[in-house]
Amino acid sequence: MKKRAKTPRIKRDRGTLVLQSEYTTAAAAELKAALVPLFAYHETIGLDASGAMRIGTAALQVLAAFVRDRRAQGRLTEWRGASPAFVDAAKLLGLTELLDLPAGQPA
Amino acid sequence: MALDLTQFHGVFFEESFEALDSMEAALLKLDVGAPEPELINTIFRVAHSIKGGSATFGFTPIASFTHSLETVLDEMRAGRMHVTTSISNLLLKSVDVMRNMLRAVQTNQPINAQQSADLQFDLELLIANPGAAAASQAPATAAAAAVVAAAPATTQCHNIRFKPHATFLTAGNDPLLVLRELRTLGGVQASVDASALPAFSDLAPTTSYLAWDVELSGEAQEPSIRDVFEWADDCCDLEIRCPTTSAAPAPPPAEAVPAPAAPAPTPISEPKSVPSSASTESGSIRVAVEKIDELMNTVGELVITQAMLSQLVGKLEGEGADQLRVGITQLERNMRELQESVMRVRMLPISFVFSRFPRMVRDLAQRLGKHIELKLSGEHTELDKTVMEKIGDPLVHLVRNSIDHGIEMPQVRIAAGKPACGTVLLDASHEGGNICITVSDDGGGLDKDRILAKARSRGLVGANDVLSDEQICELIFMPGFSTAEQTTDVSGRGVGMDVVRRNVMELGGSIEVRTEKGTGSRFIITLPLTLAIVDGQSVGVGSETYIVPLVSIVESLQLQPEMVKRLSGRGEVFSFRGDYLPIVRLHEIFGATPSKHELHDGLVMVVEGENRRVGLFVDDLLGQQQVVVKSLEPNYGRVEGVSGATILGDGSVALILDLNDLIRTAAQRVAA
Repeated sequence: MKKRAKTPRIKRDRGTLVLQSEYTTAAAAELKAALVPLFAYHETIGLDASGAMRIGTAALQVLAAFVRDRRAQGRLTEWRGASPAFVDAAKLLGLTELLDLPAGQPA
Repeated sequence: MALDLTQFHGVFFEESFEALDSMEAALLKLDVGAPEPELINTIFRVAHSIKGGSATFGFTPIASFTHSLETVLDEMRAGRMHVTTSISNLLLKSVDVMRNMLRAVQTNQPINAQQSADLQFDLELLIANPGAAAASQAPATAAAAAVVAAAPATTQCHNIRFKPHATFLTAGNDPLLVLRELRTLGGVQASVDASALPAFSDLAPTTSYLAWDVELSGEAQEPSIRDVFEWADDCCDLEIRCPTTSAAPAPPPAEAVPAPAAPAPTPISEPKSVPSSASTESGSIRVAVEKIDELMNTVGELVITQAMLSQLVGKLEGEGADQLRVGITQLERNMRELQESVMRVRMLPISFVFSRFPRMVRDLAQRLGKHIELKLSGEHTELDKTVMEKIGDPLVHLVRNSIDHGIEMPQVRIAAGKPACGTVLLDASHEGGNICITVSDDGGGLDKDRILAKARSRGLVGANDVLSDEQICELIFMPGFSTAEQTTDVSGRGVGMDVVRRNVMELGGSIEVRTEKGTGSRFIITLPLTLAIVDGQSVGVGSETYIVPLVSIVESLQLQPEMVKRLSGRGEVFSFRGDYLPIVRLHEIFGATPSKHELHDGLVMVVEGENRRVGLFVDDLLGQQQVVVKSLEPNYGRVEGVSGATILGDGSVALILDLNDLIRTAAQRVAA
């Protein structure tokens, strides 16, 4: 039987969390687990969604709560990149503002 | 109390199989290179519905498979993946696999995991590496953006409040997909209501917390909007408010980022508001076949009661009898209408049978390296469900034969001055009380010389017999006859045409073939519209009444003693238009006591069945009438020579003759 292609794991690179290419509903828990240790960081945290090709509402909801709550506590989260698919999904769900996603993000 | 979901399984399977049929049909219509967006949407919706349903019912393998399929379709829909022949083949295979998986789950059989895993792997591969298919990603995104902006200048605007329940995501749904689907209907402006979104630390990742107020501009009507939410119906709150006409142009994509600060929906002009749900229901309902059969049965009983009343009232005299007669006549008319209406309920368009052919023709043509176009006409012609179920296989056989034997290879066609692409035509139409189904092709036609040579070599025809063209064509319906040079898995085992004819005849129909060498052949099947009612001739034998189906009667005559010959040990024959036909005395078959023993006293009815004719000797012809067929088998058992029974107007029971069976039985008796 053939093996399934592997998706890349979450990578942390100098304060930037690089998102996987795909987040199904089930994978949202994995995303939350990766974000939990970053939540309390005082420094600015970078998120890179430039490789996120398929992202579901569950994952976007996790990210929205993460960004919103950090903002409320005066901690910054910055987008270091976002794929057109990611931006499109966020826009369609009306989450751009909650995610602090720059409006000029290339779509 | 937990909801018992198993009660919905039946409906789910039924709807899923239907949906897969429509998906298959849409896939076959999909043009490679320039697919119609609406077709892709149709296909996507099917995958989405099945995924949602199977996730809800816990059919995880199906949900997982359809998820991958849905992803591929989503890519196609967004224009990131182009439709190629190989992708279209892959999608068709997916339909097969989904059908198999559903069938396995339905019948509690194990799913063929290997098959689905292999195909799912191919789908995933396609998702991971769409490069081969997707030539341009950037313009595709631009195209997607254009969809958002493409709302016409003067449009209607629906306001949709969409609040998924907490379990929405775990049930296999995703609001993003729902909104994407909405976007295919018009411009979508969604503002999110995140008031229920808990603190990050308290958030359960797969629980749905968000709600949306969506402004949908475009010309979409409420039913099509509701369709988008169809599967998610019971796990979200949905409110669709009536359209308002807005003259404002849709916002350009640059301004597409909504302003969540002002989530209040735009005010809606009140007089236009209509109740949202009532008008949206579709115009049909699903009814179990048993219920209709029950209804049919009751109507049959009513017909009998009415016939009884009619007979009684004929004998009445005196005051009030005339009034009663008028009433009974009215009742008769109403009964007939009622009967016809109930019959119509059982009627289905023949497209249910025809729909399997586009796929079959495509696959076979590919396999045999032929170019074939299938044309369907008269798909809306209706016929009884039972007849429909039984005519499918014979038609499959005929179409296969046309493709395998009829249509030539492209080079042969070109050499013969024909277009390289052959045509197979399936047509249905009503003719009187019958339905006429034609399967024709523009292939090489039947090779009469070869058929005759083959029949001679098999000893089916004598070496010096001279046969007419028609008789030669008839030979292909003989058991064990095939002229195919090689037996392929498509056809050529010679178990075909005789079975086709037998099946058609069992339905009370007939099949004939017309052909011309070089220009093609045409098979014409004529079938009764229903098996529930038969046009019959009632005949009397002693005190018994039998019903002979009118379709089998050739003619009735009174024999003169000199027309009859007795053959020693082989019974009696009589001369009929140059042929000698055996005489079957009906009273001997059924052990009845006849009132007329001499052949010239009674009547002989020439009847036809199984390609043979016999003379049926009866006392008298009583009259023609439509009779409601009641099967004997469920309550009694099969009786040789009888296809069923009916109840006559006076309450007595008459047997309906099965002439094919009767003629066979009579032939065996003579042989014995």
